[in-house]
Amino acid sequence: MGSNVKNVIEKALKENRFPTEAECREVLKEYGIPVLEYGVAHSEKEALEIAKKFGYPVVLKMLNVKGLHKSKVNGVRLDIKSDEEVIKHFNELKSEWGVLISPMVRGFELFVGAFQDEQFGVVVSFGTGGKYVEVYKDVSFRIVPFDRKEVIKMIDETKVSKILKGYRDKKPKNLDAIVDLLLKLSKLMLENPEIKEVDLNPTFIFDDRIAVADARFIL
Amino acid sequence: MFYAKSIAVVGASPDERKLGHIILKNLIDGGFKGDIYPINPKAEEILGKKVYRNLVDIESNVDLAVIVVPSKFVSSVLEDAGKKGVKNTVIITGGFREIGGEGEKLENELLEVAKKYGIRIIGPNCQGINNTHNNMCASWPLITKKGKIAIISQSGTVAAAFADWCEMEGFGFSCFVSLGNKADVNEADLIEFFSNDGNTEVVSLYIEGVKDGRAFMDVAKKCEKPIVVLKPGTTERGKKAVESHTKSMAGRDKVFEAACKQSGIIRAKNFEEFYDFSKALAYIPKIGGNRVLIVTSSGGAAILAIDVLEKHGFNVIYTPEELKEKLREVTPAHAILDNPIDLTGDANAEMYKSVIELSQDYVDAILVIFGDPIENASEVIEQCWNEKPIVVCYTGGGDVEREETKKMQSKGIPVFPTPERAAKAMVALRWWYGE
Repeated sequence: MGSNVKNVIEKALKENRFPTEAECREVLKEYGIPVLEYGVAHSEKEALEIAKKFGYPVVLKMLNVKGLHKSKVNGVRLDIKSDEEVIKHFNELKSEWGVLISPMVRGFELFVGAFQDEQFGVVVSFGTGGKYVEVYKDVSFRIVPFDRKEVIKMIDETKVSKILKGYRDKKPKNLDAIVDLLLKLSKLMLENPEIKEVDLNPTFIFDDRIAVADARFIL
Repeated sequence: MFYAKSIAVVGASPDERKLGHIILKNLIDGGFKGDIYPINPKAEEILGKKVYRNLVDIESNVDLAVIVVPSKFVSSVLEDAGKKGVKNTVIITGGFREIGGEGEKLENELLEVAKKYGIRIIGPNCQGINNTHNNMCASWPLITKKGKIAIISQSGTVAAAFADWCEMEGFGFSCFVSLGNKADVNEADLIEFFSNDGNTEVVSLYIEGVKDGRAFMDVAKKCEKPIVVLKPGTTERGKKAVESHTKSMAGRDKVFEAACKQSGIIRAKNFEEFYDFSKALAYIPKIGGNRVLIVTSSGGAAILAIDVLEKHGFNVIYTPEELKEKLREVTPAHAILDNPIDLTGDANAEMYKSVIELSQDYVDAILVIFGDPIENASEVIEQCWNEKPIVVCYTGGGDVEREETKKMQSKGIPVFPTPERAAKAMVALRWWYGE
């Protein structure tokens, strides 16, 4: 895989920190894992430019290197609708790593994750996403390596799979996109054992595509 | 190891209360056909057997040494074993890794000696091994009944209790292995061994943790026999300050659960399931689908079973009209012919037989519930026992139940004491033979 991935990891390890979300997204992109559009702003001017490019509303997110759950520290500002608000929130969130800006989109929230288990190696997880993941605990697990068939079983074990296959007003989603994502994530984990834990929460599934909306790596 | 032809008991004792005496006695009383050599530096003769000073003094070959000497002497016994050319050892003695510190050092010493001579070790700190098919009870209690289940256990007591049930119910077991500290031989080695053992049909494993997760999965995947595992959930370590959601939700247990699913292992939730599933998989014929018919003398008992069956994907079919017509001829007028077929309290064994025979072609399995003291149940079930699986529950039948159950089980027909347990055993069959 691209040296970019190794660079991100080595740099973070050398600086004794975790990768920023922007860096995590770079790594994911290298492995062909779709991430939601984003930009990183280091100044008010850049923030406004990025917001303008995406069009309002946008989301502003704190970038940190301590592996914090951003929503626990009020590090995520949703539904920002004006230049004034962008400037206000940018200044509240800014750090030497900048501020991440994404378009505000609505999708169905999934949870995707992975970690290195001491006994069994890489474990990948999938389920209901959002900030209440640990309340619902609708997550299934599989040990890498696995094939598509096993990934489909893994998805089928979750409650959310019933919604993904079409429920009431929800159209059936493209489950292949989820399978692909999980397979790519397992490849990423196998090839980069320095990455100990990964949370991709939420990962949005839309009618036609899937995109990671938040990424956190623990080294 | 398991098919040794000659055994030395190192630390054999004339004192009846000592394990070194009990093991020697169990080998003799269990009818071990090969040579038995008690070893003790002081005694001349124990239980009528000539005693040797050490392993090296024995003139003939020794296939297996069972070691029961105090922990500080074990590594010198292993040295002797090495010099004598003994390749297999079972170390009963405790006081090794499980006590930490000094014990850990002693265990490492053992491993070095074993490595030098190419000796395999079961234990230390274990309750021995028993291969009924080799009449070799190098363990306690003495159990000799030959059966099809291999019991591997990290807890001596769990293994002994399981073995005891097997004996008590008349099934026996093929082998009993107490793993102890797993210094050398571990669960993966044994799964591999028993997958090739002609006397074993089911491998039943109680473990608290696996030594090498990947090796465990690999041998389990390759094993063509059912593996039933009981593993208690371990207490989760304290949460780190920085942790991902995925890891904090996973815990050890979820990962182990995934490993089981991916390797075709059947996981029991508790001791009862552990035993029931093993028994069912070892003795009930293959189940080919999910259509089930219930024959009962008790409506209540049948409903309890249906709850379990339907929850786990069984189809408790509606009795086809064609079958109903046939059944009307052989059942009393007040019998209920919708599935469950309820013969009611005055049912007799002959009625059961007729219903089973007429119904077998319509379903993949029959659950038979004797809910009253019904005599000759065993004869009827035995006559109906063929390649179509019958799962039997006998409950609420007092002395008649006890007698009939005993008769069935002594002939290798599993009987379950509650409808839920019978139904759950059926579910385990389905997990193994494919959903």
